[in-house]
Amino acid sequence: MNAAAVAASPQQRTVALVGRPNAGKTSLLMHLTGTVQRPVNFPGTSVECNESRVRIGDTELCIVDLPGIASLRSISRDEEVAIGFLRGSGGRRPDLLCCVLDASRLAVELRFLQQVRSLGLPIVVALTKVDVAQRQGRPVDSAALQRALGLPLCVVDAARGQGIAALRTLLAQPLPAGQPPPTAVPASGAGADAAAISALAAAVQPAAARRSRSDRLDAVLLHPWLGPIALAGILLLTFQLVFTVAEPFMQWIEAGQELVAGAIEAALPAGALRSFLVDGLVNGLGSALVFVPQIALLIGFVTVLESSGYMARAVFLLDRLLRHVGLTGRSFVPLASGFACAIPGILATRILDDERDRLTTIAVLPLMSCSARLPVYVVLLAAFFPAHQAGLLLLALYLLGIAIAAVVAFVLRRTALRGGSSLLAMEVPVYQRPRLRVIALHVWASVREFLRTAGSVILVATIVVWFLSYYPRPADIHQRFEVQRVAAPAGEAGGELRARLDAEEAAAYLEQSWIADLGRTVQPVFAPAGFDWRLVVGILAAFPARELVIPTLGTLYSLGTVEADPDAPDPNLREALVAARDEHGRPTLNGLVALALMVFFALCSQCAATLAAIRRETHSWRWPLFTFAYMTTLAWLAAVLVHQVGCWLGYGIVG
Amino acid sequence: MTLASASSRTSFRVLGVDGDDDLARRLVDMGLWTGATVELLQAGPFGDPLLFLLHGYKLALRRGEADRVRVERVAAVQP
Repeated sequence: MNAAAVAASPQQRTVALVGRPNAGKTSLLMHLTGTVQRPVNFPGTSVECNESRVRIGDTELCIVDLPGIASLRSISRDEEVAIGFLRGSGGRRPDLLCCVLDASRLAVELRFLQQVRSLGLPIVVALTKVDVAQRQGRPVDSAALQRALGLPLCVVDAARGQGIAALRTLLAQPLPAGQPPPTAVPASGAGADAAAISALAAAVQPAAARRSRSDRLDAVLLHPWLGPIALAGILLLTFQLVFTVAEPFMQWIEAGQELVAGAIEAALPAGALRSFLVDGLVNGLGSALVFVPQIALLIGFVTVLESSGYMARAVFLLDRLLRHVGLTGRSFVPLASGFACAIPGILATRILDDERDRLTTIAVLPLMSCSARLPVYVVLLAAFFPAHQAGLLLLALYLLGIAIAAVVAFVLRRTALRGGSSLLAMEVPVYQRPRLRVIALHVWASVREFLRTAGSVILVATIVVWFLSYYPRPADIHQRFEVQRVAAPAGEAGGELRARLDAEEAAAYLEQSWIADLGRTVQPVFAPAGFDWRLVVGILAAFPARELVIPTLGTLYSLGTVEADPDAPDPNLREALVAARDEHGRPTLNGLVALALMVFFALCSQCAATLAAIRRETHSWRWPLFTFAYMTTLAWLAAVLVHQVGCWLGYGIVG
Repeated sequence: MTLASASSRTSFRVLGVDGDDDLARRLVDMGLWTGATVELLQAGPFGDPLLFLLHGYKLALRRGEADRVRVERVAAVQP
């Protein structure tokens, strides 16, 4: 082969980034290759890893970021896949290992390295967090460590990207001829080997003498009673920030949606195509996009808490509490995310090692009252309850979801997901300043994931609901209203009347639509809960996204377009809900029915996107179907209970 | 004695981990091998889990997990 051919087809080399969890592999990969490309699945599994390519001289490195492993003996699914890859069981074996070692816990890392050496692959060591060890008063003598190990070693700062160029050069160096001899590690960790590792660690790194900043922070944040108070404060602040910061962005998205809808309405004559574009396509896109600000912010804050090291403290503080209901401290992160939106929460369950813990957490997550339920609560509370009761009821609805989640988790862990409790055994890392780039990357990945799975489902579901509420569209309705419109006085005087006629016409069409037929067919099921057919149609139409119940009810009560704005519930809808009468002139809604409806919404899983996310994360239809079935059943039972008890107490609708 | 009954401000030496299941292996992998030195830092809000210092890093273990680690008392740690 001549030189030109070599240059044209660079030598391929697969490098696996191996390390214990929290060693800093992912940020290292980001600096090594400039970007993190799309995550790829390991063949035949659901375990994802990041894979990036970078060319150095004549060598093209394909760097695979394996899930963190604690040793070469797998416990979790992720570890199993990572170890399988290292052993070459997938058919593809790395040519070189880049072993990422955390200098702040050197002895444990050295034992890990000892195990990795037993694989017999060439190794380059990347020593991270040397600055952390330095601050703890335990500086590492990296030159002495390199001599003792006899491996190429490079000190890198994975967070800031220092030492990366040197590491790249080491990774692209010619591989040593022949395989290094495998070294055996005793499984128990006992014996001369462990002693040798401890001695080596002690030799290159003196014992800690200083109380670090981390320790001083922990004195407050892990304090038996200050710690939980601080945790509650941090959570409240996070949610407050998510909601307030997201608000203007959501308004911009809504304004953008109106702008596009307005442009379409101006350009096209009234008809099926215009309605499809405005109420189906644009509305569906808007419904999906409007979640993005909250999801991005929430993921941003969760990543800050996670990469700063605080999340491990939250897990430590909450493990006991969550274990009572069969969950684990680690379930806390996804469950907390669920209060903004269930979908990032479901994605966050990937941090749970134990499959049963993970499935239990996923199954109860949609019971956390997400931000899409809030506008439903706010409109109904404002319509039927005085302000001082409304606040308490709102809190009660949130607590109801949490309480039911606890019961469901408890039952699941004793029936379908029975089994021994998972492990905690968790490192509580040193506090670190979160890096903006890492946060931005996580946020972007989550938003992309949301739009790809949830967004498309919301869009499709919205279009289906549009279809069902638009057709069959009998012609006589239009003629009936057209006659009245023509009869209305021209100009300013008739404007109000014409607007009312338009709204009534929309209501008349919806009443004739297939979704209304469906609502009337299903209504007897909801009769014990006191719901009339309009509320049932609202529930059905809310399947793409919960907050859609408000505009649907708005159309049904002849209000034309109604905004689901939690800050300023439309006063017209409020009045219309209170004034609504059925065919016999009886009110269709009162405080009790509204309460039953809210309880139904608190517990039901009217969210196609959540179910799609569960399907994706559990790789089966069983869990989304189960979640939908049990939540709908519970929601129905609770709504019926509220209505029946209320009627018995004399709060029912008197006709 | 086991780590579950460890008192704070005292350092202990690991004598061994009972059993040969996932938990036992994980504990050894986390650094609780024979001869390692451990110190209890504090307990969680309801007395569980426990926070230990070993090899210069902090490890959280549930009481049940700590109960698998046989230890002996070495010396009191200076505050």
